[in-house]
Amino acid sequence: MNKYFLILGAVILIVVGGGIYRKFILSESSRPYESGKTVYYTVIAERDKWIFSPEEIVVERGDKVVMEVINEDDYDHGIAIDAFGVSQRMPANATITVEFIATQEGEFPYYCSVPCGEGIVDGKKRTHFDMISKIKVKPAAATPTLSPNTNN
Amino acid sequence: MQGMDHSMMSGKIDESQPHGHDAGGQSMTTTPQPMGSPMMSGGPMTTMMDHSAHTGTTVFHEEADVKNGLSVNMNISPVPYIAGDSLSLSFLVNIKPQNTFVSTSDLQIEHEKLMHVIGVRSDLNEFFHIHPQVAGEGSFAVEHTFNKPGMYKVWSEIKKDDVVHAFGHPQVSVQGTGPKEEKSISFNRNVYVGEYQASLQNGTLTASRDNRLAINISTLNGVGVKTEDYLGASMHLSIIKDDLKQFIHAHPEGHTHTNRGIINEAKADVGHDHSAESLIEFNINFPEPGLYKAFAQFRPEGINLPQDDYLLAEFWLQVEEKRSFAISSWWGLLIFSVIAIGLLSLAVNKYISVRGAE
Repeated sequence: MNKYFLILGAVILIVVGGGIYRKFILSESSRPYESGKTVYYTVIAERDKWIFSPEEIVVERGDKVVMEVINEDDYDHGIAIDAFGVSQRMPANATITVEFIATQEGEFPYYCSVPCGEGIVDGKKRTHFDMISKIKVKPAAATPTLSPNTNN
Repeated sequence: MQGMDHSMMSGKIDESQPHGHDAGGQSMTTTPQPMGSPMMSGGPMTTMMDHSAHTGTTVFHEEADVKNGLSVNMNISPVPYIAGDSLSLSFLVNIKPQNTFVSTSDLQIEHEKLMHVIGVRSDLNEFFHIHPQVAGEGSFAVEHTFNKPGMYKVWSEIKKDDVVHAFGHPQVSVQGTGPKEEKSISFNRNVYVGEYQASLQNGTLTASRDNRLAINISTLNGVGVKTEDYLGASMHLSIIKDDLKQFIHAHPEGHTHTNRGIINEAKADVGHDHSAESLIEFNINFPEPGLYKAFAQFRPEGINLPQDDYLLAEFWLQVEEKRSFAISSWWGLLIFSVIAIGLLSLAVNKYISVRGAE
């Protein structure tokens, strides 16, 4: 009979240990969190400017982010957000939608992941490698976010 | 070339000057190439230099996956990319995440070049192997013309600290008139390449183990022909899976190989010129089963070609899944389960005593 108690005890230890770790040891910002809120953004790869507009978007941790990404160029771009596992090709003159949940706080780049050339914009050289914008993920707040197009 | 080891330079070649051997360059026709047809390069001639034999391992990276450490990022301009237009392919060698440039003096010459770039169209009908030149600190560039529209996959290879690093770059879309994909698969083992023929000998090809491939070069009359060194090897063999996710680059005289996604320990190694000296052997370890295409670049001895030109023979390969046992996986799992249960029972009997039984 003892062996069954041993096995049961080991199982209880593992389950309780996991619960304690998650409840008391894992930091608040590291815990997976979904607020249930969805925020919508439109991001534009502006024609022959090698830029994503807006250059910064702000969301709250736990938000589900739905990005409509418009490629105004006659050539392909790509959008990658490493922190949230996003990597998608944007065909020429096309619109794509990417979705992810902003599970981590912090500032994360989103950038063009497909070679797309270079050119002179307002007297300055811009290239594929300059096509980087930023997602700022703020701590989750109890109050509704002021981000555009919020849908609860 | 700033900081370049002059013993390696041998005073023969200047990587900062334009050179190349672009199989897909303007000298090529724009009509579909029959399999095994010669692909000859354009580009200025260069003087070959002494090379050191390849040693060490090869590590594969997808450009998009590199977040830390050595990386090569590719850009192409001008946009849009049009078939038939001369485009500039630029490559930045840098260290992530700071994006600090790697000095070209920190890179090593491999098969006579600091950087090799190999590209194919998605249907594997178009192939090129070119060599960017130093364009600045950590920067390389080369002109290239994509002859046909379609999606192209490009790999760049550099060598640093005795390790060859191959980087797969995001696919690029080339616009233009004409079909963008015309996959045509043939397992013909004898192909005509100009005034020569190349024949491939191989048995059943199996993934995850060494497979012998031998390529024999002969005249149209069947007389064996030796190959002369081209970029420091008697043959260059690029093998690419049809989904473009596996890339093997092998040279007969060394241990050069690149398999996607894994760190290799000299898997696709080695060829040894046979006594006939027209037979070139490779042992290739295919990382996974599937359909592959092999591109063999070579120069028959005494051929009247510009120094940077080569002949190209192409072969489709079917690689089967490795079967470790003759029995099915179901039986394997059953046997494993029985053994595991037996071992667990022994352990319980040995280390856990039942009070009532004592």
